This record gives sequence, structure tokens and C-alpha cells, in this order.
Amino acid sequence: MLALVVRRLLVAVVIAFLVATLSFVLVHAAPGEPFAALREDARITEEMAQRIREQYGLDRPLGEQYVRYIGSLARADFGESFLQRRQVSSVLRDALPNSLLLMATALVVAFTLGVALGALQAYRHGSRVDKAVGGVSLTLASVPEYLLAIALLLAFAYLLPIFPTAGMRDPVMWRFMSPLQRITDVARHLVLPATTLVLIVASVVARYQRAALLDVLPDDFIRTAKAKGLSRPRVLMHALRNALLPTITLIGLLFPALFGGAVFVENVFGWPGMGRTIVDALVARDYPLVLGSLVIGSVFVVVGGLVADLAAMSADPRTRAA
Amino acid sequence: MTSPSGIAASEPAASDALIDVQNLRVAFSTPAGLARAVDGVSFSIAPGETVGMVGESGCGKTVTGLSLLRLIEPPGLIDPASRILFEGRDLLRLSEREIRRVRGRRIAMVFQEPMTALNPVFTVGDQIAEVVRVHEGASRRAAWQRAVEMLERVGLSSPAERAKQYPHQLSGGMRQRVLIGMALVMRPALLIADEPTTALDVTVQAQILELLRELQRDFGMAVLLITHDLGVIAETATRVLVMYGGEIVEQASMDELFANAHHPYTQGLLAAMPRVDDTRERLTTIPGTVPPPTAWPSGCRFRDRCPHAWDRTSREHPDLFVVSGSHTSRCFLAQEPERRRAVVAEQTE
Amino acid sequence: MHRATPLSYDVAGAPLDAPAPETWRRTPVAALWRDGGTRAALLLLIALALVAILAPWLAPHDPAAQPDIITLKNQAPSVAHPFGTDPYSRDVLSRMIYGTRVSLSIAILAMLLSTFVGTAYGLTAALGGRFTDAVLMRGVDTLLAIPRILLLLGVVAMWGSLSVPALIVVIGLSGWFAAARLVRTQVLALRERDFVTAARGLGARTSSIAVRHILPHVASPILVAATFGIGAALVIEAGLAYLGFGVPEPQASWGSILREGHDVLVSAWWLSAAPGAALVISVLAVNVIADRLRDIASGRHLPRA
Repeated sequence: MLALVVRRLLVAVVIAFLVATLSFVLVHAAPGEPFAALREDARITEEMAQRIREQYGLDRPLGEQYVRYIGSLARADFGESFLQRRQVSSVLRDALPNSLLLMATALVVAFTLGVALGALQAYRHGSRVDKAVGGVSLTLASVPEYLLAIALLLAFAYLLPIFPTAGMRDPVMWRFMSPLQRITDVARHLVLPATTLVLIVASVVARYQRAALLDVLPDDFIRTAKAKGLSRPRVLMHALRNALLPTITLIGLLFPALFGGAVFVENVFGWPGMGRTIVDALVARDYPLVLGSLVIGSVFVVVGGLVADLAAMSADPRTRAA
Repeated sequence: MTSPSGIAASEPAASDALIDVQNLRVAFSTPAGLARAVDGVSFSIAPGETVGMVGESGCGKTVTGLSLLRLIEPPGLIDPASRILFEGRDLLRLSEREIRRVRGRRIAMVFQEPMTALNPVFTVGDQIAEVVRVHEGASRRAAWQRAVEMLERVGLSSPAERAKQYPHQLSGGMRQRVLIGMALVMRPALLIADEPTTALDVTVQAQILELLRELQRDFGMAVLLITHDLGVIAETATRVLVMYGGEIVEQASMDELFANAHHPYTQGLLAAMPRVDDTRERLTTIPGTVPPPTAWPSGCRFRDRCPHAWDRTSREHPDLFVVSGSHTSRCFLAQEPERRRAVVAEQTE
Repeated sequence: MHRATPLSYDVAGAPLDAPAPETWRRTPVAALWRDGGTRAALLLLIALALVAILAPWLAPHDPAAQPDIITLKNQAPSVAHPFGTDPYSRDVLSRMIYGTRVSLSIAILAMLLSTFVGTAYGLTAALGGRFTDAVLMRGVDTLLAIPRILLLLGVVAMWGSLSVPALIVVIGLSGWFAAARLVRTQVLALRERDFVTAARGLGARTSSIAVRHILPHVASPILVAATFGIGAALVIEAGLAYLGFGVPEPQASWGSILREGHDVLVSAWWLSAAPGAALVISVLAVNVIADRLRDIASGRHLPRA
């Protein structure tokens, strides 16, 4: 188990390294001089330009530039954001928790819902309920996140103005709200973006859980459970407890896709997380911020996957001891 | 009960039997047709008796065992004309709720593969305690206590620690002991053991059989031991039912069967058993293979493999005839003594 | 059943010598046609392909024409403009028709690139010895951990806007990882089989073994993965365009039309509905077919003997 953790953390480091190197290569391979556009950019003060030149060592040989660049990244020094005039690390420190909130909420709800639906389908294998849920989950799993987000936005924020149309909190009233009101406010803003992710992830989980359960139900220990005189719900619990394991592993594999989905969802709903930060930074050509968020985003995904894998491993007594 | 030989055996008065199976028929609907896995099986087991049910794979013995607990699921169907009388009720007529109260509590079953019969994600203690909790409504602690006691009873060392372990941490023999413990924790009146030792090493087999004998002595339950291994039967059973083609083809006490096997199939099984004092160089086998349950042969189902078949065996289907006392055999030779004498004479040459 | 990503499947089930289709009934295409659901999906995709190919003849108007920005903009669907008009008074139907051409070709070409790279990579890993395999697979596992959209955005960041060929390359090069893993697993399993040993015994070189003996058997799972891949490529291309980093103006793809529709979401909903519906239906069709192909690959489609 420890070996796995260490290996995964190493993978995270490697990925960060890879992404950083890739970015470095792209910066220098892209047409024109690196950051040539910046010279023209009115936002860049001479001070900033100088700092950039130092940080990236633009007049030094390529090799040296690379080393300095990696060095500064290792110190978590991503430089300063052009747009926001503050340290990139500070921007990310604000954005990351918001993404985490959205993704974690969606994940927990989707997992619970998906497992329940999958179990229901397996319990009533072949019935109309099974087919109906199956059809819906197949469809939802095929819908791109941004489309679903737009549809939900249109339906529940505009046509039926139940939920706010954008953002994470009420921009005007926030200052005057009590802590409880603030929590409610964020929750209200969270509903639509989270629901978008939940609908899609739950569909994938349901399809998977159904298959895993159907796989387990003919197993011998289920026959033993019945022979013991257990009721049908209890027998199902035996099966579920077993069939839950591959689904937990699935979560780990889904994490990159979940993040990708969150990127779109954040942009549709204006949720101030990593996804929106990246896109805004791209549009504004805020390269330090783009680089920083790409690296941190990738590391975040790997660590998230690691957590999910650890959860899967500790849930299965056969791998726990290892 | 004595009847003159050659007469079709009538159903014995089974009022003192623990369980009385009457005309059990179980069929499975398969793409290849209707498979009559069990086709008219009747027998009874007295309290505390050990009955062995022996036969090759495909003869219907496992399905019989499962039927006693009504564990047959679609596409399998039990014929509504069948009856299984137990403790004053017909098990086949009970509601789902009522049969659940019988399973694990009054009748219990131990299966063949200890490797896979236990749920890998629960501790063995939990799995035994669950039975107690479900059937007695006992508290967690009380149930756990009972589980630990049971583990000790079935011969596991350091039972308290073992109870907290998971199935994958135990050997095959230990797992089988756990399964036996799980079956017996509620002191059922009948234990059905379906090939309990087949998947185990030979030395462990002996231990498990010894354990079963010991527990039976102490708990006084009846045992239906289902196996294909005559050697296992020889060690544990007092009465034997031989099954072939979905039917019982011979029934006798253990000693009587080994001394005077009547049905050619039984004789074949006995002859095929390797023995320590054997001087033969080759084992005899029964020629041919078991016919598929979708197409039992007409007449006597064993006729294609029987060295003594004659035209009557293809025309008529034999009933169970009395051979002597309570020894019955489903063979026309029981009705035609001269023919039988000729056969016996042949065999002793 | 499948315990991994949707791109895995049952190796043991894949028939080694697939029965020669004595009658056309036994071919996979026939199997697809037989089932009502996949037949509909197949017809739909064929229809879309036809729309893409015949675009210049099908489109009622010039997709880039802005006849009358004042009065004709944001018109609801009508007989003259069945899908309405956009804020620049362009006919949405025509843009959608040409957009089909763009989106489909990008998706198919990108998928071909992914399949090619992935197969080559997977073959190399499986046939190249244990060390090569370990290194290459570690690489793929690492790459699989990065969300595809991040990868694409990263490239966009450095290169600014991308032309259509560049988009194809970038989308294609970001989607081969899973296919590589799949191919490698399949080939590893096949490598141990007798017919490969026989070929090697006759002195065939590894590369020729790869192409002539192994490849035909890997074809089915590759086909399944490729079909799923078309759907994924469609989605990611539209998504990229939606964020503003897709095909450059004046060309339209489904995603860019969707993007234009976002600002007028409530007032001109048809601008979002058309590309949205097209995307959902296409991806659904592709997934249905890919699902069925996966069943076929494990031999479940053959009529009972």
C-alpha cells in the first residue's frame, strides 16, 4: 500500500514535470520569439517585463533557461499573473478549493445515486425499470457536459428562474450575509453546475455498477447467503458490498474526465474554479497563469485519482493488508 | 419391514421420518429442451440418521439437495405434484418468509467449493454471527460470542482471532470448517452436505469427515451426504441412495450395499473403486457416458451401459423393486430371478 | 463483463478463427443491420455523412452570407430559414450543413490518426520485449491521467488559434492513449498463441508477424475503440470550439455555432438547439453502434447454431 502511494506521488511529480517541460517546449517552438507578443502588450510594465526576462532567462542559452524555469516551478513560484496583478500561486489558491467543492459534491452525490440505480437495475434485471433506467443512463452518458449545462441553465435559471444564472455567490449581498446565509447562497449557486456533473457521472456509475452486480450475483457466496435464510434485501447487500469494489476503482479512472467536465461546467456557469481560471487566462493570454494552472490542474487530477485508488484498496480486505 | 422380493416397493410409512421426500421432480428449461434433472425421487431420512446420496455428475443429486431448501431458481422448476414433508409441513407449499425461517435454522447446507462459498469482504466471524442475528434476533455481541464458540467447536485454533479474519486468510480446510460451523450454529435438524470434501486435499478430507461425524454425534442432527465418492460414503453413511438418470436406482443400508449390491450401476461403481488390496492392473470402468437430462433413454435409463440389458429393458421402465428387507433396486433382474442367477454365475467366473 | 474503461472487452471471447461468413447473415454489418436500434443509428450516420459530402448542393443559402443584419438577424425558425438566423443574419441551417462537414471530417480524420498512432504504439510495446513494454506503458498511464481538454488548451495556449489541419492533428494526438493500451493487451494475449509461434518457427520477422498474423485479429477491438473514438473526438472538438478555441472564422463547426448561441441563449434558443441536438444524436448513434460492435467482437451476435 505504501509502495503504491509513493509510486503515485512520483507519477504526480513526473506529470508536473512533463507538463512544465511540454509548455516550455511549446513556448519556444511556437512561431515567433517567446513572449514576443508581450512587448506590445500595454499591460506589461517595464518592471514586469524585466522580471519575466529574469525568470525565464530569455537572453540566456536554452538549457539554462530550462533549468531556471523548472527551478522556479519547484519553488511553486509561477510568477505573476498579467491580468490579476498578483502571484499566480495566490490566484490558484483561491480557485482550487472552489473546483474541489464542485467536484467533491458532484462525486459524492453521483456515486451514491449511481450505485443505488445500478443496484436497482440489477435487482430488477430485465424489467421495465431496468430498461428505462438503462436507456436514460445510456443517453446521459453520451451527452457532452457543456450541452447538458446549457440545457439546465436555460431551463432552471432562465425559463424557470429558480437558480442563479452564474457565479458562486451573490456579488452584491455577500457582504451583508450571515454565515448561514452565505452557506445557503453558495449552495444555491452550486446546484446547477453540480447537477450537470452528477447526471453524467451517475449514469456512467450506474451502468458500471449494474454490470458489476450482475457479474457477482451468480457467485457461490450468494447461494450460501440464500441457504442461510437471509432475506432478498440482505442477499443483495452481500452482493453489493462485493460489487462496490470495482466501482470505487472506476472513480479513480473517472477523475481526469470529471475534471475535464468541470472545466466546461465552470465556464458555462461562471463558477470561479480552475476551469474558468484557465480559460479566462487563455483568452487574456496570461501565460504565467495558464502555465501555472495547467501544471497544478494536472497534479490535482493525479492526486485525486490516487485518493480514489487508496479508497478502493482499503475497501477490499484482500488488498488492505498488502 | 419385509416384503417378498420382486414386488414394487411401496412408500414406507414415514410418520417417524424427519424429512419425507415424495415424488420429487425438478426440470430446467434449456435451449436444448426440457431437462428433467430429478425425475420422481422419493426417500425419507430419520432423525439423526446419516444418509449418503451417491452418483456421477449429472445424475441429479445436487439438484435434489437444493430442492430440499427450495433453492431452485428459474429456469428450474419444481413440479407442483412433488411434496417435501418436514416437521409437519410441506416445504414446497410454504411462503417465502416461512421457507427462509427453515433455511439455516432447521435445515442447513454446506456446499462444494469452500474457496468461493464465503463472501470475501466480510470476516468469517461476521458471516457466522449473521446467521444467529437473523434467526434469533440476537445482539451483535451475543451473536459474535456464538460465532467464536462455533469456530472453536469446528476445530479452529485461536477462534477469537480467526473470527476477525477474512476468508482469503484461511486455508481451504479451514474455510470448509467455517462453512460447517455456519451451517450448524443454529443446531439444525438436518444438514445437507454437497460434496463437502471434493475440493480439498486428501488429508484434509479425512479431517473434515471426522469433524462431521463428531458433530453429528454431539448435536444429533441428520445428515444427507451427497457425493460421487463411494469411499466417502463408506466412512460416514449408514444408509445409501444411489442415483442415476434423475432417479434413485438402489437403496440399501451401507453394509448391505457393499456386500450385496444389486443394480448393475452400483456394481459398476463398486468395481471401479480402487482398493488397497487390489491386485488388478487396470481399473474397471462403466462404459459409455451419462445421457443428457433432456433425453433420458426410454425404458431402463441405464440400459445403454448395462452389460445385462435385454429387450424388456427398452420396452418398460422399471420401478423400485424390493430385493430384501429394505434393500430396493430399480432393475428388472429383481423380478426375474432365473435371469439374475445366470448373470451372477457369469460374474463369478 | 467489463471492469475497466469502456474501451476494454473480453479477449477470451474473440473468436480466433472467426467463422468465414458463409452467408452474409453472419457478417458484423448484417448483425448491426438486424437490430432495430443499431440500424437506426447506422442510417443516421450515413445520412450525416451524405449531408457533409453534399453540403454545397444541400445548403439553401451561403453559410457566410449576411444579407440583412438589421431586419433578418435572430429570426425564429420559418419556412425560409428552417433553423432560423443568427445575430449576423446568417442562415443557421446552411451553417449547420457546412458545419456537419467540418465537425465530421475533423472527428473522422482525428480518429484515424489516433487509431494509427495508438495501434503502432501498442504493437511496439507488446512485441518489443519487457523493458520496452514497461517504459512505454508507464508513459501511456501517465498521459492518460491528464484530462484531454487540459492537453488541448495547453497547445492552444502556445499556438494561438489553430487551423483545421492543426486541430485534426492535435485532437488526434491527444486521443490515442486508450487505444494503445487496448491494442497492447490484445496483442500480448495473441502473442502466446500457437499460430504466432508457428510463424516465428518458420523464420518470420517480428514486424511481418505483427502485420500479417496479429493485426487481423486485433482488428475487431480496434474497430470498437475507433468507433467510440469518433464520438469522443466530436465531443472534444465541439467543446473546444464552444470555449472559443476551435475552427477559425468564417468556417463553422457545430461547436462554434453553439458558442455563438450562448450569448443569445434565451432570445435565440434555436442557435443552441440545432448544434446541441445534432451532437447528442450523433454521439448517441456512434455509442450505440460501438456498443453493439463490442458485443459482436466477443462473438455474441452469431445466430445460434
